[in-house]
Amino acid sequence: MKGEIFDIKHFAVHDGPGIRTTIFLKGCPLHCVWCHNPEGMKRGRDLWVKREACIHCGTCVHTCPKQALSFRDGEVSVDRSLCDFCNLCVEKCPSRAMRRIDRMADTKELTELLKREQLFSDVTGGGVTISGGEPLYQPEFLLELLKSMKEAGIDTCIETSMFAPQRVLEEIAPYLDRFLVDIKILDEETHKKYTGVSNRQILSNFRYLAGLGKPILVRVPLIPGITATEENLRGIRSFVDSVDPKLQIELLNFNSFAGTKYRFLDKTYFDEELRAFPKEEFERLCSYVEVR
Amino acid sequence: MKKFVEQVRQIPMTERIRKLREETLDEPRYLSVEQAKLITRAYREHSGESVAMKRAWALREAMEKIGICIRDGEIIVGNRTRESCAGVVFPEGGIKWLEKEIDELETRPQDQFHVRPEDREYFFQELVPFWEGMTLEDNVSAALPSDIKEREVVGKLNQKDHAQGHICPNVKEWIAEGPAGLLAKAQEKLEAADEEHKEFYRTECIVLEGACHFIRRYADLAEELLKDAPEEKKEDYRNIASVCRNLSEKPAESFREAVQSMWFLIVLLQLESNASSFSPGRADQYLYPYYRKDIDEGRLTLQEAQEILDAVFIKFNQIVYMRNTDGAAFFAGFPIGFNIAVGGRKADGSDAVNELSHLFLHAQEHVRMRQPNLSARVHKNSPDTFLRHVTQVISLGTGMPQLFNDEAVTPALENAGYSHEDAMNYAVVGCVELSVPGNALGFSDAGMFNMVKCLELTLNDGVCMETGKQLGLKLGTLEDFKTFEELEEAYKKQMYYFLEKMETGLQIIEEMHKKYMVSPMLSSVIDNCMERGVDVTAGGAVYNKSGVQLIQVANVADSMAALKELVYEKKEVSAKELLEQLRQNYPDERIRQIMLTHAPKYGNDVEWVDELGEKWVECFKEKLDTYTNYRGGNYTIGLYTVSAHVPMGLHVSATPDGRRAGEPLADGGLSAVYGRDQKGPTALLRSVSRIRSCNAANGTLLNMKFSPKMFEDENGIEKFCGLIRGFVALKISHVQFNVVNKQDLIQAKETPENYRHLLVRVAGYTANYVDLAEKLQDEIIARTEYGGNA
Repeated sequence: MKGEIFDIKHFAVHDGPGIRTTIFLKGCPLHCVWCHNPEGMKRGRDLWVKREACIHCGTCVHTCPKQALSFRDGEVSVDRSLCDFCNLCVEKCPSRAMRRIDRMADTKELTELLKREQLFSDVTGGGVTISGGEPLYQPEFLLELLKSMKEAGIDTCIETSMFAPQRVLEEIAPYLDRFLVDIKILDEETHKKYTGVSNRQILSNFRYLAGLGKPILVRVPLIPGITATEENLRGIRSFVDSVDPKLQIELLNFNSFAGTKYRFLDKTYFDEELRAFPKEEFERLCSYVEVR
Repeated sequence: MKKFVEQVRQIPMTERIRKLREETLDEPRYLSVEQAKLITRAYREHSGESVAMKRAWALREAMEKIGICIRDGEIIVGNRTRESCAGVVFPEGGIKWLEKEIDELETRPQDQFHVRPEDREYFFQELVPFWEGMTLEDNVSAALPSDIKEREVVGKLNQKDHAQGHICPNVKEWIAEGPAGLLAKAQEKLEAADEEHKEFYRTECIVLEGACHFIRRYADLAEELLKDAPEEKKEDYRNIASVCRNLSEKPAESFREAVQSMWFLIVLLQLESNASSFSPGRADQYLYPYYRKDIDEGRLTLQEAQEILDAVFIKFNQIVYMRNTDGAAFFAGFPIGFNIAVGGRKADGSDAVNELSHLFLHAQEHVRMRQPNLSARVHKNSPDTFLRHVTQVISLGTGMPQLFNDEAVTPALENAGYSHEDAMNYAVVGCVELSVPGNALGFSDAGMFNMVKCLELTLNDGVCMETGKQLGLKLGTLEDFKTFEELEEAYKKQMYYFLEKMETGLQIIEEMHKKYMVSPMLSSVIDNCMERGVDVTAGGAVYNKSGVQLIQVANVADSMAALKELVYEKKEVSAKELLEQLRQNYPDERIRQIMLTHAPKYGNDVEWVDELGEKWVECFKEKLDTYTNYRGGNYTIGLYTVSAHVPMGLHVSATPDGRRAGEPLADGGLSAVYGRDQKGPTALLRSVSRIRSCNAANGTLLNMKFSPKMFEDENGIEKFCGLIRGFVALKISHVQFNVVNKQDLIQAKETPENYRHLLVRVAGYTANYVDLAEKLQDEIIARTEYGGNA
């Protein structure tokens, strides 16, 4: 079975225990304003223009049958309303500055890829992490992928916002060894404001997953002024405590590299000025979510 | 062992060591003609005698008369010159380059030396005229036919102006016998020897008596210094005097004596040959009985043992090898290759890690200098505690220890004709060269075969694109090869043609070494030489190999893959167009980008590309195996360049992989071309594992660069250990790591004064980053970094 992915990262050392490979599924029902993977936001085709690789040769402009490409201020410019993803510019670009980010991948192919990694993942307790986008957004593919991985004896982990009907989780949970779950904002209204959806389903799904007794790590992305407030973090801690006070919460420091990826897609990041928290600040924020 | 390691890691560096370290770091370097004077005097006095006798007397002269000193606070003593880090002029090897460059020594960009006016005068007035036509360099130059010299751009011949070095002596026996014990053997042998072998034993007696004398001079000096020493220093001198007195008369008894004995051997070998890479080998194994006994009997504390090792680590930085300006540009920072390999296996296959292995690792944590070149042997049953300690030391960013994989190296050595027992006991020589301690002359740096240049000539009818000279066979150009297979067939013919020329050159050079570089001191510590009365340069060792480096797999694989896919299969670029582009160094950037980005590259776990690299190693080996070297042994292949990938790339035109003319080749030996490995470290390792290590008995080299972030927490350290386990399982011979921030490297180029002590792993050796040539600095920055931001 095939599904839509946008990236595979080997030797992922921040996505669960051991040496892991992370597979990024395309498309997400949330629209977090700070999203770090803009290329994973929507399902379907996407054209990247990696301008620092461009040699300004004009090949793409001459190649495009729809006249969607032109040079503006010395840089390639895409009229995305005209582009029909014929791929000619991608094939002809000498320096691979024009790229298609979406690709259909087969569960078998992905499992074979993971088997190669077992030499490294098995000795370290690693395996595969399915991330996104939101992996629950392609539930059939996700289910087949996890079954296939489990058959090959690979440790499976999911990184999810938990935004999906509970039955999706019920279906996939037997094939998962561990969960990395995001709780971004506790207050429902604020959650809606910054992610576009209510967090009711998310919180209720969290109760369900925590009840399964499998390893589960709660993660909060630190977005200055949005998620990274004392109130929000303490709130998340007490919510988690109400479910299981032994559960760990890990904070992910703000990552300021996402802006570049927005430019590849001709989008603008919501706030280019934001920076990661310095060490002391970060540690202070961590203290709000420690297990007591 | 876990507890023990924790205990060891808490031993602080002593004030004594800190001072000695600082002094060595700040030592000014001078050209030294002192030994040249002594050698010249001996050659004059013994003018009627054979080269062997002259060499022996010249060494004896130096042993008896060269200036010596004991530095304040030292516990391990000895050097080959009075001042440390001297640039020793060694006329028996060659001085031609120095005639041209002596006035630039102080100002050249790398490895500067001060020159005293009186030394300069002596050099031109006495040394140059006396040695004209007598040095190894002059004799090699006269003996090599010009058609071979012209083709060195493909088959480069090394060891033309200095002794070979690159050997791991039998340190275990040296410590157990001492020079006095070996002398007694030599005297006995001399009595019984026939006419043919008498001279050999005479030279042995001359130099071994000299060795006893040399060591005794240190005892005498210590006693002299004791007289006027302040009370708190007296104990130091008393100890030195007693250690050296004992060693001059009898075998080592204590741990300290054993370490001192090892160091004296290195100094003596350096005194004889002024070469690089006399390697102590498996020091944690042969020193262990002395350590155990002293600890068990309460004569030695852990702290004292650590301090002794720290002290000898500093000594390894006090001998440097002075290279010519070209050599210094690309082997900058004095890689002299005192290689110590800890860990590994015992002869019965069980793990060999002992307490001393950890003390050696901890010495690296303390001293953090360029030398010794510390290696760790790992295998599938290496204990976790050892791998963890190794990882912790690697994370300090000194590039050490580098790792050698028993699962790959032992089979490779057996494949090359070493016995199973010897192959289990391997050690490392110099940078990454594989050898067996005490019984082998690997001649591991005999030559370098530039496969990439050979490909350029294949594509251009044997004509050099840089000079227009016809160097290879006339077999047509890229345009004439109708299929990829025809191109491969032509490449093979050209390769064998150049190898034939090169091999003839190697024979000549080794013959010159036998004639002019007779080495009795070295022969006394290589098994079988003394037994048979044959010098090591004449084939006296048990194993006689010669190492040829094959350069560079990654560029060949990438170029062949691009030709196959883009010219022959997809026809994205025509043969005619590409050939023009290569000849003119890619005037059309579009074509270059297509060659660079439209075909897959080595290092990304793409089988067919990796196999295009492996194929040519196999092909080369098939032919190389048909030759016998000058000493009657076989040739071995090395897949490493040290840092020669920079100069080796200088005269290679643009290549089909998108590399521009003159740019460096891939670094290391088995590394992907810098920056082209895009699929992470595990994919890189799988690619590398397809270049079968069993074909490379002379050693391989893989560089990997990690961000310091990787080691910030326990988690990262454990994952890194897992990566090492995978490396072992993939049967890759060697890997070494740079752990450094890219930003620091960029900053260090801008403000070198703030980064004087920033160490980086260049390629099989560690150097101060700011001492390197700019091209090399840039190449290190361009290498792919792993383990940084998600």
